[in-house]
Amino acid sequence: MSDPDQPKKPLSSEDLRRSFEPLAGDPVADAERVLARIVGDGLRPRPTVPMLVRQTVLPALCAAAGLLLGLLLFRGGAEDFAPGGAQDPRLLVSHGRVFLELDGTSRLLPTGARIPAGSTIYTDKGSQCVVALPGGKDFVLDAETRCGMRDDHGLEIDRGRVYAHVVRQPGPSRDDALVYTAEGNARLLQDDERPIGRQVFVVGDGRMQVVSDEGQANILTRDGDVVRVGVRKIGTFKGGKLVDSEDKPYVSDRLDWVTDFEPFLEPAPWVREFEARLPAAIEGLGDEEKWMEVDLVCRHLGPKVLDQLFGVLERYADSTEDRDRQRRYHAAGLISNLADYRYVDRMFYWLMDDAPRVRASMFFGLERLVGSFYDERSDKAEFWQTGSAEDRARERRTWMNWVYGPLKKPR
Amino acid sequence: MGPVPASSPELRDEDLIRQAVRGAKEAFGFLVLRYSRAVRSVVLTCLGSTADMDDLVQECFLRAYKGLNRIEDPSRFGHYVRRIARNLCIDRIRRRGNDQLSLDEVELEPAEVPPPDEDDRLPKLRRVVGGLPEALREAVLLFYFENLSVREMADHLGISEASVSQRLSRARARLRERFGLESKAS
Repeated sequence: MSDPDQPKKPLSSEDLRRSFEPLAGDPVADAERVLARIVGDGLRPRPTVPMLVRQTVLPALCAAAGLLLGLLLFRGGAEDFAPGGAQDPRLLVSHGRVFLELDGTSRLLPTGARIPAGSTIYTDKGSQCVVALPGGKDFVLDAETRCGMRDDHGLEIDRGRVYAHVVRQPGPSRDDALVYTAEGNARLLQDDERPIGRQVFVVGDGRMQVVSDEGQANILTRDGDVVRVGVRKIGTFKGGKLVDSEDKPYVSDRLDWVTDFEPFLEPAPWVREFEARLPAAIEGLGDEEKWMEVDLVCRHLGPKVLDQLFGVLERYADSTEDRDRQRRYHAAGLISNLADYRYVDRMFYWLMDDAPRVRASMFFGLERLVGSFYDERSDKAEFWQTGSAEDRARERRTWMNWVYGPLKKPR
Repeated sequence: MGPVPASSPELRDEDLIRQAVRGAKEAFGFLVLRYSRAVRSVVLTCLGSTADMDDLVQECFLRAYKGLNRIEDPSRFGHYVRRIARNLCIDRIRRRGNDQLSLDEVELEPAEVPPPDEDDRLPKLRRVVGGLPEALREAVLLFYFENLSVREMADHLGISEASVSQRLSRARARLRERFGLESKAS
């Protein structure tokens, strides 16, 4: 112990480091303990696809799949994109503003962005969004809803409402999406064997959803295989699965909303006004004097103008008129800012456009939507404008593999 | 089982993982050595110093080992194992009950008795660090406990280097302020 009579020198950064030393434990002992358990219990990595195969056969398969996908896209098969293929939790669609909170800081979450485990997402007043989890599970967050991303497979609801929906996949249906609350702490898990909490919001099995009204459904009793789900709905469970539910008329709107992913909202007057101005605005894309009006209308209406903008790219693709080229450049710029995850496939298609400026816009849009694929963004913007067609096609295949395939980031 | 050799910095994580998957379990020992402190840092950030820290560290690495085949990017094993540790902590908090533990004020006292020659101000310093908000506490632990660089912290936290520096600066300012207050109070 130090001498209390001696004047002490001021604490330094090194002292801070030393203060933590007693907490460092013994890494060697940690390693020995872990190894002893691995050997003693005969543990081994869970068998999946062997790494050797992942690093040899799968990339080849992915490249082939990417090539095939590319061919399909060039044939105009935009609908081939399947959101169920997402490998990480992502913000699939948003209406309004969605925020991501991580490590005490918040930021606006762009459509298509990954949602890391341990983060929290929340919707603003009047906003909704769809979150896609791996395995084809999508969840709709209502306005003023706050959810923690428990891990890659589960959301935890702090407040608000979440609706579950199971995207239909080829093969046997899965009945394992479950949303429930436990003592005021709503949770959403894929394991329907867990005990059901005091409140139930949604039970989705792909065929039906049980939705409480305003999140106020209470489980009154649990008697054998019958669970009474609140005052609005009665669900019957057998073998841990919801097999029947009794509809009440005043929740039907919600059911439609969940099934179609379309907010059941009457367009506000200002939306109708901007929609009326849209055709003229699209026509004015090639006219520099009208660009401000075009931007104003498109940015207010958001992703719903994208079909028209992509239409401009296609309609004037072969035109040599300077005005038409300007139309396409401006449309591409707006697409890069407004597109959401549903348009990723079309953007990959136009990434091979003849016009360098259109390609650059698609590059920036894709970077925004599907995450940072490149370390040096500025170099790659140059590449997509000036690189050879062969190099660009190869790069696009690799990028698409990364987005659509099982590999994260090829080295 | 013989002693585990010291950490081997020239071996990359992906090489060690590849060897471990092929059956060379000792290779995984190197990874435990390399990331033991990182896992402790996560646990300290979330839970403070707990008596079952060693058990948590062991559980974390056992989970990581079982999932080795599923790691998408082996070069990011550090992120992977930290995420497991964080999820374990969240599970632990949930089991304890959310109301019983405030993440904003955790105890960073070592579970064991401090060495006799330790400066008597250091335990107080740890306690003050434990009282920092979680984001600042994490920054302090990553920098001073895990010895990560600002750049590595930015990569790990998914924020800019400027933000990391800002958090560290704010943490230091608060430490100075709170340590001064606590010293006066005692």
